[in-house]
Amino acid sequence: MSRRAIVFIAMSIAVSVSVAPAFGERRDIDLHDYDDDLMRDLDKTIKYFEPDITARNAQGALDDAAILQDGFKYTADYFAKKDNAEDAVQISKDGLKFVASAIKSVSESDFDAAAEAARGAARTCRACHDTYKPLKKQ
Amino acid sequence: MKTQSRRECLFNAIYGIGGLTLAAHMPGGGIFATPALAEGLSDPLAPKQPHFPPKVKSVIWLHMDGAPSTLDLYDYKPELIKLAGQEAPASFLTGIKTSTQGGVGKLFVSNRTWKQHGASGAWFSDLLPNLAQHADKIAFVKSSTTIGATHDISILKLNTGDTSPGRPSLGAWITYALGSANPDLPAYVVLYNGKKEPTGGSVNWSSGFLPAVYQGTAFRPGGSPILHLDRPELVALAEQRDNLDLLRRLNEHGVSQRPEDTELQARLRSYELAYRMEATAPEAVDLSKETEATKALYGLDDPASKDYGTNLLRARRLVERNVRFIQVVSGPLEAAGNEDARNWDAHQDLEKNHGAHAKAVDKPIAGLLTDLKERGLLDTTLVVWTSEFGRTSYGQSGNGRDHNPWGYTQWLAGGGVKAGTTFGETDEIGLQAVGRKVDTYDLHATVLQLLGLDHLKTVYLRSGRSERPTVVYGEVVKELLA
Repeated sequence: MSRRAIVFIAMSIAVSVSVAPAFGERRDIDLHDYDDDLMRDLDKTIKYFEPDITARNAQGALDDAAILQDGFKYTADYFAKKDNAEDAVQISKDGLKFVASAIKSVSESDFDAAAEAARGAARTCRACHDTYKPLKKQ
Repeated sequence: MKTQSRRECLFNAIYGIGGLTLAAHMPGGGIFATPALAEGLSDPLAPKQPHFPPKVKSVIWLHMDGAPSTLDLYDYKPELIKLAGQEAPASFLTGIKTSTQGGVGKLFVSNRTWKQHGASGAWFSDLLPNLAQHADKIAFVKSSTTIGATHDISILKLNTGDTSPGRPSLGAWITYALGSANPDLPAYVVLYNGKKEPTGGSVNWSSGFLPAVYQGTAFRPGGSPILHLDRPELVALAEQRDNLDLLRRLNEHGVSQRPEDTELQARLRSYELAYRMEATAPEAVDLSKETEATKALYGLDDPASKDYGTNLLRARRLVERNVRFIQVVSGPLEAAGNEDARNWDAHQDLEKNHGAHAKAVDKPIAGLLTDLKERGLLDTTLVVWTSEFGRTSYGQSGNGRDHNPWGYTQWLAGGGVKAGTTFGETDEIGLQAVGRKVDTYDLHATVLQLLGLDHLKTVYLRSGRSERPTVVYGEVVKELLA
């Protein structure tokens, strides 16, 4: 097994462990000032990310990655300002790690590893929304 | 004057011939609606190899339209019975948006008796006495979740994986990935009962962005599932064949001039399939040769279950004829506690509604499982009992329940399924799934797995993107597999 694959698996396990506790514990929190347009863009882009990678559309994947990075950064900063939302901050940071890993793999033309990382990023979206969905506008 | 190309002229002319205009008479357009979209494939319905050896050849997808309360069928909750009539404790409502229609009523129980069945000890209520006898054939998923709390949206997600129209249905993906195992019948058939198309309509058996040849073909309820299937009265068999042969020769000439024109090739194939179906389709759904015992097994001797039983018996006949995916949608019932015919959507008078619907489906589904088993077909067929969501533990209108996308029960039975097991659970009042949840994507991934398809490798290139059935989600629920 290549060193890169071992590093990727180790990172996936580490991130999975940090994401896992988010499942099953829902949280009510005032999210009225979250940028809904940004979230809609993220929702759309995360659904393009893996399909672009699997199709070896490197430029499309990198464009997607840039949008996702902006979104995950915004989300991490947003939740960092909230009380009792450390899990959301961590999940956003995990998302950033997956996107960074995908970018690296795409740049090395390792599209299988990039696709796996993209699926990891999608899982972080779901993990967060499992806790913080539906958004409650107050 | 508008000029037509030769192709348009032929297309319009042929679609004007009564005996071949099947698509126009099929709900949703049928398999022949737009064969011209079958781009890029010389024979899009040719059988294809799965990724690994499949456990099943066919799927019968039983959609309980309107969302039954699985709390009143399978998910026995003593705590709910204990707390009935009280406000739902706030801890159970955390994180969910509960205001779909009538807000949160007091916790509600219907007049049920519960019993464990089989060696597995699965719980069934008294609404499903026949199905309960098959407890050990079933793998329950009691932690199902989905998105949305309105029927159209969640039905779309159940069938296509998205809450907006545009993605292919699961049956279309399967037909795309595996092709047809019977050139004389559609590979993907939709059966429904009731007087109109199911909730949400044909978008729920659409091929989405896949070529149109992969969409489901809906058979109407009643004695003539496909209207105008018979040859027109004044067209003799030889005359019809001559017409088709002439058309084929002209089209083949066109194809030889433009071999890259796959639209024309796809259309040629559709005409021939339509012709063959004139002979094969009526026989496939004709129950006259079934024994009275078989008909009774499916509840055809009881007006309450006759319509749904007819569809399930037709489904078995289609399985015997190697149809890949049969989507059976339960229809509305006039005697279900409402002025108008209503599906399982019991916002009020759940007792009457579910009593009627359970009676309509219980014996037919039990009969289907028995019949498949006795014919040796259960090992190669997957039966999936599913719905767009479940219903709430709290009441509505005094004697009904609201929509519940947070935790409900579905089940699988058949080849490759770990029978007699239960995966997942809901909380103590049956409102929200706890622990590992099973979304529609996971269910789709698992169904594909049983058909020998890796959901991550079942891809279609669309505008430079590799789309797959489970979008960017989905995990096979390995605990459900034998």
